[in-house]
Amino acid sequence: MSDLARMRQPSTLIGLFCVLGLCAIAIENLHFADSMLGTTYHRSQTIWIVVGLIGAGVTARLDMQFVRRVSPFVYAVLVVLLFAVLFFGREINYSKRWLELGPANIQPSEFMKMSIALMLADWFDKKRSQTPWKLRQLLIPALLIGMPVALINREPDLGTSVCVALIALGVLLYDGVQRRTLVMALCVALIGVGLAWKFDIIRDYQKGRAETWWHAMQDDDKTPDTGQGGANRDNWQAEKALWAVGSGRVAGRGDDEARVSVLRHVPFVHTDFALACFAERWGLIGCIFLFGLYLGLVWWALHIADRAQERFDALLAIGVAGLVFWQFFINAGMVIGLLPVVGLTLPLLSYGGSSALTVLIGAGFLLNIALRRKAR
Amino acid sequence: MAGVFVAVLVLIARLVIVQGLMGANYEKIATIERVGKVRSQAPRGQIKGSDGTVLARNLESHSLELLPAKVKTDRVAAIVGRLRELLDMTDSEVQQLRAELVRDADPRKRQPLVVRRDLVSTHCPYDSSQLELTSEVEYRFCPVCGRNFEPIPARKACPFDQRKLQSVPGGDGMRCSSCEREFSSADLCPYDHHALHHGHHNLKCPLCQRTFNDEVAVLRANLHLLPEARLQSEIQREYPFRYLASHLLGYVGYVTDADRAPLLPWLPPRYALTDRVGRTGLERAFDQALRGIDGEQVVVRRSGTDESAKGMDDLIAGLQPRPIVAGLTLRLTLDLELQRVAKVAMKDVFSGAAVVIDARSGEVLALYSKPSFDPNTMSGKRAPHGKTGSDTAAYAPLLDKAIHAFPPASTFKIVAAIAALEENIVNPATTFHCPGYYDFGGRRFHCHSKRGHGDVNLREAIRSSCDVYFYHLGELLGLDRLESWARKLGYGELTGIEIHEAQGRLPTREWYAQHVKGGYYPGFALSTAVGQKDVTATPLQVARVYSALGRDGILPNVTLVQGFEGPDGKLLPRLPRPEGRDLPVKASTLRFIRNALLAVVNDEGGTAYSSQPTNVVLAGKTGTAQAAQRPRPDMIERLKADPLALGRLTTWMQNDHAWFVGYAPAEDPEITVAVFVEHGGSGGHNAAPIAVKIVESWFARHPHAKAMDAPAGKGRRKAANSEELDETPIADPESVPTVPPEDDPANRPAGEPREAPGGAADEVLP
Ligand SMILES: [Zn+2]
Ligand SMILES: [Zn+2]
Ligand SMILES: [Zn+2]
Ligand SMILES: [Zn+2]
Repeated sequence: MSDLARMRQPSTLIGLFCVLGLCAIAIENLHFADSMLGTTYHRSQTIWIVVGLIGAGVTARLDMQFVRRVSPFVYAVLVVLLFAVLFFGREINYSKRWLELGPANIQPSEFMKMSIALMLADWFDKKRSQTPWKLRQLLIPALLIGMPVALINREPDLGTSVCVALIALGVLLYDGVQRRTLVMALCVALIGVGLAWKFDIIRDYQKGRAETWWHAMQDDDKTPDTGQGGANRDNWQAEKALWAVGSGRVAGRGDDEARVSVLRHVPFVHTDFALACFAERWGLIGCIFLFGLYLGLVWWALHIADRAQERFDALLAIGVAGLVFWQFFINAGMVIGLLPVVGLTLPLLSYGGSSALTVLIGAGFLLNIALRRKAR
Repeated sequence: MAGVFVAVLVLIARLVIVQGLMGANYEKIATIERVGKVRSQAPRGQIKGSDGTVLARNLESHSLELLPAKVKTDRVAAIVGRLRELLDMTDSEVQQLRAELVRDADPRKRQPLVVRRDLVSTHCPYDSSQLELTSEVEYRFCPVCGRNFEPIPARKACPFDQRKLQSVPGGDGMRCSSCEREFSSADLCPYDHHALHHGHHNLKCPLCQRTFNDEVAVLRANLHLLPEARLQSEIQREYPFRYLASHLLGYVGYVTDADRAPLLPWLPPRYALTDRVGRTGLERAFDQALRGIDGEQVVVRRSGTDESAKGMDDLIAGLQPRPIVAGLTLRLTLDLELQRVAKVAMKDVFSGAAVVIDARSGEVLALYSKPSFDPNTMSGKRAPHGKTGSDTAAYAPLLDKAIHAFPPASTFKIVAAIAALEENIVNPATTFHCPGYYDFGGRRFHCHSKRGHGDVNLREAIRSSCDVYFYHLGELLGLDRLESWARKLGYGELTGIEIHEAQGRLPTREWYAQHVKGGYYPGFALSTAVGQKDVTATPLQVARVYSALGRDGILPNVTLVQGFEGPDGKLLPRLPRPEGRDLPVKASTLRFIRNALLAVVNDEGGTAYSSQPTNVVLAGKTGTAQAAQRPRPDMIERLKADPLALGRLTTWMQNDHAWFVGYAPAEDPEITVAVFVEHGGSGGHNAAPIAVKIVESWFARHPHAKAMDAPAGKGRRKAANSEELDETPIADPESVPTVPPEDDPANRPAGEPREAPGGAADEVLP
């Protein structure tokens, strides 16, 4: 029963609370979106989350040595699947990301996020060195990262490929540099770039506003989309999402009001812009709570990485932390108008089985490490 | 970890800005449902006569459309029933509509279905005069929801179908569940408690005294019951004078794909889908200037209340509406009164044209072609309703005969006369003997006088239009010299009029070699000298040439347009027109010709001696072109059902073309008139009187100082003419009674412009 005792550690409890809380919010939010649009996404998402939680439980009990042995095969299979997606993938919104496997649509790029973390952790653990990595030594990890990134980019799925690259970069740099400096530097750089981009957009947007709105009107008329909407369309989506977010004010607005507004303004309300729907309904307070949950999850992962006795475990936890953090940060930044629109979902909150499964399995790995920690 | 923390703090800070500080703003903006730019069509410029009378204008027309994509199958019966009630539709219309709605259409094809065009609203559909309200029937309607209310009957049963009325929840109104009529005795809408408006939708035309239902008002009031339908307003082109000046005004039509195709492949389409472009006449010639530049309007539709537009101003400002640039108004030189006179003067002819130009400036004062057509039907204002078996097409109503080329007949003789004088082939004293025929090249060319004119000099030959004299000239000059002189005089070239005109044809030996089987034969020169065979000229060209003869050899450039009107109604300065050119003809020759032309009308023995205006001295030349034809087989086929019309057509086509061209006052011409009557008989008897009426009317209104100062002993006044003069001004174009093709309600322009008839004759009449 020492497992149970370790479960009762505050950090583990916080982590689990965050994960389960996010799951619950996700289902509720999707249910709301479904009730507006008459869709049934929340049902399949519930199934995915249940499957994911079971998967997390299984992962938590897995032998890490087994995982490390299996992960190259998983990686190879995923690369093959990414190739397959390009040829046989299902096209939704001008992007081929999904493979139809039986009753479910699988998005291999999501699993690749986890797999790349595992692969890199494994590789860096095996080739440990005391000095920071030299460029020549990074050839193999660069290949490991580059292949899936390129493939995902081909789908095209810029958001996910950037995310995979960032996860890998996090792991890579964590091992080479002092992580404090690394994370700080990265954040500052990213925010800087984001802000610059944003201001650039503002100017661009002013210029292109008329066009944007024009396009938007065409959208309203449901004219066949030629797929060349481009930046204007994205700007427009972001603008509309911002209207919804802003309308939430501090305390959020009633569901009935939100129902009207969200339906009218928020595109992709189940996926990319799920946060906009949430933000309008729950306002600033709700958002701070939600962000707190993500922060808690990331903190848990980093905490585990900190305390991990094995290098592999630490690297893996960093990978999971990156997986959650980058996706969360980019998506939230995009919905609230800080970052440009790249098609990227919010972990757990957005509809997407593969994504939920990946995040929950990541949490499973964290739990695995947390439960093992004191035993050694 | 700290980095992650910072990042999340940044996100939250941003949220505070968006939700906390700017939230109220966003909430406001979020009421916008859609924003967009809507193209708004610039009003097409008007066309006005010289006195400012509007000849072409714009009228708003309304049509009711159904959106088939929105019509659900179980609603079809209800929709059709309601429309039938509202629009007074006939059974066949109802059946057609039902079939149209039930037919399963391609759902992506979102073409709206037009149920009714030209709904009556503000203008009389018959004469376009402004309708007046009559207060016979009163009704009440809600300005907010658009419902119409009947007073609540005493028995609380629907007076239309006797069903029991049900009360409206939350109000004191009643409602019939079967016919969906609304009832209320209070003056408040039971649905939204807005004050009801009182109105009446019975309209009366002050001109024709017809009464109409205000269909647009009725539909507007009931449209909430027909969510599948919508009222569309459209600006239509309206030609209030209908048949009067249709050829020169032309008409507009919807763009075709060919019109829209850009000039260069990468450019945007030249017109929007619903644009209309000028198809013929001035509408076509000045299309760009008339159409103006379309604007763009910013449309913001908001949900909820309109309480505040603040905070959205910056958003809307970014959209930059583009103002409409209205089309320019075109002012013509056309004298509407004279145009009417020309029309009335031609009332007894089937087909022909009358042209009046200012002899000095070349400005067109009247340009009438018969039969005419109603450009409103061509522009879609009124639906064309033709009847089969109509012989209208035989008279080519769409063809502007004033600028179409026909054999000029004896009016062309002045070319040979001038050429012969200028080339010193003859002098005014040269005589030839006319026995009534001339044998040349093994065949006999007849003079129109069977008995012959005896010994005639050039002046007498022109006066009595002796063909034999001109056969001699033709033989002496040869075809090519004739052609080059005709060209020098202004034949075979464009007159400068702004609308699309024919150039006429001046055959040469080379032309015959290329175009005629058997090639050139010397006899052709003889025929050409008398304006027959293959030479053609338009009535306008002939009028222009004669203007030059009358006015010291200055060939004016013809124009139909005074210029464009500015916004204040004043004429804008126009681009300088090219000066008229001098004819390369000696003054003595011109003097001689003028003298001869004066004799044609005023000397005994002149071919137009019987046609003298009472108030001015006219000089001119008649012409009669032999042009007997048989009806074309397709015409015979078409008129099988109407043997009377076919007989009329056949007889008509046996006749010769009649010409008269002249200027007045003879000593200092102000106007030049050319009258062409297709298959009209003889120039002296059938064309000249028309010209006389026109000239008399003009000088009745513009008394000329020397008008009554007629050369002594030459004139013989006809008392009858002055009586006819009084009849000429006619106020309403519709009230003019005319022979068949004209003004027949079934007058439906059809068919292509015809080839000029004639040219088949070897032998020549006057
Ligand atoms: Zn009302
Ligand atoms: Zn009733
Ligand atoms: Zn009327
Ligand atoms: Zn003779």
